[in-house]
Amino acid sequence: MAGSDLSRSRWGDLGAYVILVVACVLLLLPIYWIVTTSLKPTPEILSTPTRLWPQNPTLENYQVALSGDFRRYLLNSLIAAGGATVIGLLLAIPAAFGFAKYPYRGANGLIWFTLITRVFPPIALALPFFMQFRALGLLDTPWGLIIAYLPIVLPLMIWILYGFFQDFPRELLEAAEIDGLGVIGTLIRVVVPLSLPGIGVATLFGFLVAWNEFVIALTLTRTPAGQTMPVGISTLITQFQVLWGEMMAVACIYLIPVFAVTVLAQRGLVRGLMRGATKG
Amino acid sequence: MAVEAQPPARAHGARAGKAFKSGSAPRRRQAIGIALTLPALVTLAVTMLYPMAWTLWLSFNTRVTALQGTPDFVGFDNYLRIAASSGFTTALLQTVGIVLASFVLEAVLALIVALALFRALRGSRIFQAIVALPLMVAPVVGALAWRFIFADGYGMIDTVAQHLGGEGPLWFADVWLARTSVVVANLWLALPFDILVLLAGLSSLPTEPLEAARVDGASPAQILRRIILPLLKPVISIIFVIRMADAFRIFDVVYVLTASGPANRTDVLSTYIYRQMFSAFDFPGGAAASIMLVIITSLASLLVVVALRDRWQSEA
Repeated sequence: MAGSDLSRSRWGDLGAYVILVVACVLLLLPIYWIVTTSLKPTPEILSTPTRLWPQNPTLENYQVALSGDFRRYLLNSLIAAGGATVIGLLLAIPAAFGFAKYPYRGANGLIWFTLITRVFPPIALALPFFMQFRALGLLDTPWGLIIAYLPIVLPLMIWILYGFFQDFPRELLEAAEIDGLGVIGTLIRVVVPLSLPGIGVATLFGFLVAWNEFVIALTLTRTPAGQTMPVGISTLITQFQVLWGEMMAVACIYLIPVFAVTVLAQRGLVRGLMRGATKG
Repeated sequence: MAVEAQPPARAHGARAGKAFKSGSAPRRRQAIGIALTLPALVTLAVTMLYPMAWTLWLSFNTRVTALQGTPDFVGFDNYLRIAASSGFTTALLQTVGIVLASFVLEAVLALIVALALFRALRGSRIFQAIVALPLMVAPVVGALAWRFIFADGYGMIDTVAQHLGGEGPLWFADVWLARTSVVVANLWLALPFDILVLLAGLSSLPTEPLEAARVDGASPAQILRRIILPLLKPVISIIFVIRMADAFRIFDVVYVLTASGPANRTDVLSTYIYRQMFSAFDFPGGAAASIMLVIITSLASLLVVVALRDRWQSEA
């Protein structure tokens, strides 16, 4: 809307269209190549020069992919990302609410600390987790990954929710207090139901960050018993060959929900990206 | 002035609000705050501070410490050994190079696309949806797709080159081409974030200064340089800090795309640390390198935040 106020010229419009078309083509290129390759039979993938589109489209790559360890990877990813998201929410909602509405001495320093943890490289956590998990028997399990993902998911959720809770109208809290609702009662009955958009954004981000995580899962899991989707996909690059067709089929199955979320929740995602970032 | 002009009712409301914040029972309010935040803080202490402290401790000891838990203090030996090794310095330079190259390319390309989207042309919602697609794609999957585009023989680039009667370069055999491929794949993963956040910033700009400048006959380039960019500074600095922290810890793309090759020449700090720990089993060395990476990233972020803050204040 505001853009239409900008200097309007036909050449400017044309230039903008050209830029957008080129940008979209370049951004779509890898996606196009993944999708079309997943539909090609293996000989066609490896023939040179190969075709830019499938000659004999087939779903055999998908059949191979779904019959392999894929279901195990999917289940592990769901357990690890889902578990970390649920526990993260249970801890982050009261924490962000406390930081936003019941500040105490030193709270400011602590909230800044949770933001700074974003800078820590996950690889620095990999070895200590590896050593501890080996002692506890948590290596190669999705359950161990839930614990290992908390230091990544939790600060992100606290930051997103902190921004939302700061804007929560104080009058409503006072009214709840007068009505005799305790702090926990207020949180569950008043704050959470009215903050669902913010909680939705935090949930989405927490889940996607854990769903996409690679280094820590690569370190803490060694077999399909514990490996997640990103690690599982990368194991299709074997020492002797790359199973492109199967890999691209798995990638497609992985990408569909990610794209659906991106398109449907775009506004929330952008808001969350800004929230997770603003004031830092 | 505004305070004096406030009607009594507002003033009363403001006072009531203040009472709520730090009011009659501040002790109790503080205790509630601590109780609400404690579970999350304890969790972070156990899952983040403790591992980091352990890594710090290990970096001053030896392998025996890592395996048996008994201290074997060697001072800064691990740090000196790692800092002097060519593997570490290569990875450090490589990481800094990727951070800088990514920043310049992302800033320029994202601004161009965001401005084009901001013109609010017909169909720009569709363009925006397409641009957003890679936003949440796992770096591993993005890197795999690019590996297949750059691949020799059956890769997309080579395929197009062959159809045109030529032959594509061997992307992963040449150091600079391999580095280029890493930056390109990283760009694909990062640009949607840069573009969408810039676009959100552009959309929230006040329209009056833009209108005024246009009425005064300013050229589009002048409007961009003198009005839009200065107003966008907070948004740009947010993007800068986030992307820099992300670029410093880049791992997935390098691990999948080039596997640090050729001959470890595209190694970055995270892949170097990973190899040091889990291939060479040099646990204390990897720990020392991890601590150095944390310090470097923190210092760089701090520097950027301070620099940007000073510049705002001096210009405000």
